[in-house]
Amino acid sequence: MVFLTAALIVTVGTGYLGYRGIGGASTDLDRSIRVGSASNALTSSHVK
Amino acid sequence: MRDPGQIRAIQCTQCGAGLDVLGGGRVTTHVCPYCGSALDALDNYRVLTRFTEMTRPATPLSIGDRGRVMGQDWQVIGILGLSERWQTQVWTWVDHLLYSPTHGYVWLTLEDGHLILTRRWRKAVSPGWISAAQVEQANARPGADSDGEHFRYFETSTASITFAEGEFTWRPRQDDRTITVSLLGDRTMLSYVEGAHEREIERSWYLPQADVWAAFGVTGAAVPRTEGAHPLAPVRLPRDLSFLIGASAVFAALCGLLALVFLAMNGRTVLAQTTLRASQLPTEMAFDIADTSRLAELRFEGDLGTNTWAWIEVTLSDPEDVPLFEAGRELGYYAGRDSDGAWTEDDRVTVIRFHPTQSGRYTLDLDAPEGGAGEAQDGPRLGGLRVSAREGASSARPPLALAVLFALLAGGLVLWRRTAEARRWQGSDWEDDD
Repeated sequence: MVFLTAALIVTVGTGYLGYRGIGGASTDLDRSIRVGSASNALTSSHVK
Repeated sequence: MRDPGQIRAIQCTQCGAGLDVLGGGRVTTHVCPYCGSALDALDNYRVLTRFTEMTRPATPLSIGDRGRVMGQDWQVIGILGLSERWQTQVWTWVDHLLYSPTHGYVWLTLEDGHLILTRRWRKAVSPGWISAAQVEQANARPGADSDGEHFRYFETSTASITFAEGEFTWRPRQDDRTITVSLLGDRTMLSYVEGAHEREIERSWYLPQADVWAAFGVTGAAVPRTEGAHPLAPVRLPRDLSFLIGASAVFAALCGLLALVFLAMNGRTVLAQTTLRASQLPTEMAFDIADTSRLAELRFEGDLGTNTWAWIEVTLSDPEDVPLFEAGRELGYYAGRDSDGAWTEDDRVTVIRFHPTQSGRYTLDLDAPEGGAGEAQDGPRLGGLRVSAREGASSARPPLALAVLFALLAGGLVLWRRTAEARRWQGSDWEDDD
């Protein structure tokens, strides 16, 4: 019963994440060009 | 049958040693522990034969010891030492004949430090008999059923008596041989035992070791150490392992199905497929996004000749004209033939997924600055580029990852059970033909 409950909760949670597309964004996007990004000044080659 | 109430002690008719009579009315033979004489309990304890050169087997139990086993009080009335030889290997074990005035006789076997209880099995068994010869001729592993348990052939053993003392319900003789065909079930063992004069079916149970030793007053260093795993020893697996395996498999399938559903939920088009000629690049495109709660997708498909590639660069700006991200992707199409036959490597399509930060008009800056043929970088090779965008998409990744986890869990549990089962059966002498 504990296993069933835990598995059900995890499945529902994962279903919600999948529905919202969380975890599905491309991982190679360079967001450092965004103005105000904390890493902007450090990493972006667009900022001299 | 002897009257169990009449005699409490006798003197050995061979050596005169005092012997307690403990064993009840079915005892036929009493072996004197001092001189080894086998006395006929049914005929004034006359000497039948004599056991000579016996080596006492190692057991902490003695004649007269009392203990509680499987909810019943028993007393040790006889001890047999047994051995089996095969080529250069010798196996030895000790059988203790236990007696209870209300429950009769059972064997308490001590083998490699493990305690097993064995008794004659009177309930229906199918088949009624399996001989060693039948096992030899069998093409498939023999099986049997009794008391709702299924048994599969485990081993055939030929045992000889090497030691005897105390009372017995038959007449043991030194070097008497019995052939035992043993079948192993999930909980117990079923044995077809064939001696010189009789056949018996017996059933054996693995006992709670510490409890039984304690019940007989054997504690501390006197308790024999177990060597190896006994096939009857309970395997330490979760009680509801089958359920866990089944449930894990069901959840794996459920998550896989969920992943397929999310894969199909790819949202709605916000930028219809637009074909750009290479000469139109770089360019800027705009599209409106209303749904910020789910994923948006940019899809690019390049017109590329065989063995050519192109590098596209994408910059997306949000409705406030603030760059959201930039990305670079390689499109390529390669084909050829090698020793394994024809091959292709088709990467003409690439998809960028992102979470919109706000609704409104997004601007896409697109360029294809590099390209080439083969390994060379000799200028753009892109014939055209088809671009489209969607919003409101879901992701199959989380449920797919969970499906893999559940599948691994189910597989791991199955492997655990198989390994434990294989350990139980590793002592079996059955060999499949294949």
